[in-house]
Amino acid sequence: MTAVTADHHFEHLAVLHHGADDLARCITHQVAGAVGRGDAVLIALDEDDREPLIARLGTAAEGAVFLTPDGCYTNPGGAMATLHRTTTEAVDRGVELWSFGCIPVEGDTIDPRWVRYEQAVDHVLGHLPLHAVCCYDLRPMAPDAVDAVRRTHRVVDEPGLGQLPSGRYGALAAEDRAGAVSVPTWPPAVHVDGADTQSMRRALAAAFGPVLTADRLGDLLLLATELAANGMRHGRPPVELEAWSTGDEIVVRVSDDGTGIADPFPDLRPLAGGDHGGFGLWLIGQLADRVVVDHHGDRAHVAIALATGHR
Amino acid sequence: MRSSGVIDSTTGLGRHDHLCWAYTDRATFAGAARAFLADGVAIGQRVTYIGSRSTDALRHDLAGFAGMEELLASGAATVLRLDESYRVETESAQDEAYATATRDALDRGFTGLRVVADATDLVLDAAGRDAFIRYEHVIDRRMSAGLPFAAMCGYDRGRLGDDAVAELACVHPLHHGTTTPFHLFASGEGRLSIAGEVDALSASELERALLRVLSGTRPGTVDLDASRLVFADHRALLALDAAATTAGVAVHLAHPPPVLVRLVTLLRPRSVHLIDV
Repeated sequence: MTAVTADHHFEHLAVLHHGADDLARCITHQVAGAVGRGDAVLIALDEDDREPLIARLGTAAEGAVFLTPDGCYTNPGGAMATLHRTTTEAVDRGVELWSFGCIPVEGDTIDPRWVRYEQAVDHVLGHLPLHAVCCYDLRPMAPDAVDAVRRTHRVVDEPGLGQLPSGRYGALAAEDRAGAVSVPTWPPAVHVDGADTQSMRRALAAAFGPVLTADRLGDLLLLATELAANGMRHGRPPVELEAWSTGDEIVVRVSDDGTGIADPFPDLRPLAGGDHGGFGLWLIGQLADRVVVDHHGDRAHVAIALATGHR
Repeated sequence: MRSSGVIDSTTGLGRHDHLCWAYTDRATFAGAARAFLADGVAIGQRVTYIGSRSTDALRHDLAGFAGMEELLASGAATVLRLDESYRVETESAQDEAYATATRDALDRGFTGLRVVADATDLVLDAAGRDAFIRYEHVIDRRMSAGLPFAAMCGYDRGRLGDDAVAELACVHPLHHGTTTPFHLFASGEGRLSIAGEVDALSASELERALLRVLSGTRPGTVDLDASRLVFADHRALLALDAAATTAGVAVHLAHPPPVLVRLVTLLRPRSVHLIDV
């Protein structure tokens, strides 16, 4: 068990910068300080961003662990699980964790699933001695994307101004979360009773087997089964499953008549199952590329999306 | 590889096959039994037909079987009452009785033994069922190890109900007329096989079946061939892990489907491991 002292430090801050040299200038002091105190330091930056930082750090660079962002940020569930695990490992060693990373920015936008992840960090890891420093290169980012960063971080290191409380923090609409999965408006390719899990899997395999590898189809059937099982266990019948192919993704939505899940980030919570179950939502977070829970039209919904290609 | 899965006919099965045939209509069951026994006679196995009713009624079931009178007269075929022939004092007693009977058949020039037994009366209550299911797996291991013994186990669905029949069926490699979504059976060289699919709806049944099946194994390692497992969810893996942990064995998964590899990698169970094959 991990004991967390009351006087621990949690911070989740964004560094808005203008490229590798600027970033190195912004964070060298923090990295060197953490290494100097003997804290655990993880740095998941692109190679280009890493080099000026290493040059500035000198021998202090040897006290940090460098990872590739591709390995850390494949999907939000995996990223959160890694961050949680490394933080608790640091706690077990009696130190704090400093994590410097760069969430993927695609073109000029941040994918809604990563906005949701950033929003969840405070909720999921806020009780741990973690310093999560999220580095964003301002240059390609559209104003909406920069605003999303300010809305998901309590403190932002603004260019030329230093660390400031974000006036936009917490200004998140429900659409921000829902935007993580775009449920198609056209009729689903599969619409079945989620209580008959065997028939449900056969229908999904028939509809999507031809466009998925064996591994991805296995993931899809596992996700659908875990979602349906969750609806049956915690929700109220009827449990229905709908699924669509959007070309790039398979979208699955399971709904029931229950009150739904109050926690907006159940898939991003640390592993907390028992001997016989309780890992369903965590697994969904590990396997799905996007997850959204909501409640509308008197039905509780969990929607997930799974990329059809290789990650 | 041993035959496994759903069957609609009892013809064409091999000399070690083990099937569960659940029935609602006795006449249909008798027809399937005749076909199974006729195949045995054709490949030189001694055949036995066992049931709870009178010997005359059992003989009547076999009416129409060409040459049955001669086979019965010569000892190549026998008809026995369940209460006179089944030894239930210990789990291994009937297993040993069949091993002896098979060796006796071989000594007399037969190629082995083939039995149809309607065991419904032995499994009407939970305790009887529990003991009998353990025995079913013990004899299944012996068959898969090469004993030239084939068996068709008949169960009356009307008297037992679907749940009890599924509980019995899931420890047979071949089955007919049942609803169990998975099967556990021996596959030679001490290996265990799992076929079908298991999820949250059947995970507790899997754990119960595994505890019975593993109760007869020595502590150590059990190789589980999962090549015929179509699907498992996380509760299925946890059921497997719980049963293995309780039985004090480490399960090594051979040929698991991608979904099971995923689950083991993510959940890292205590007693279930992937092996490189």
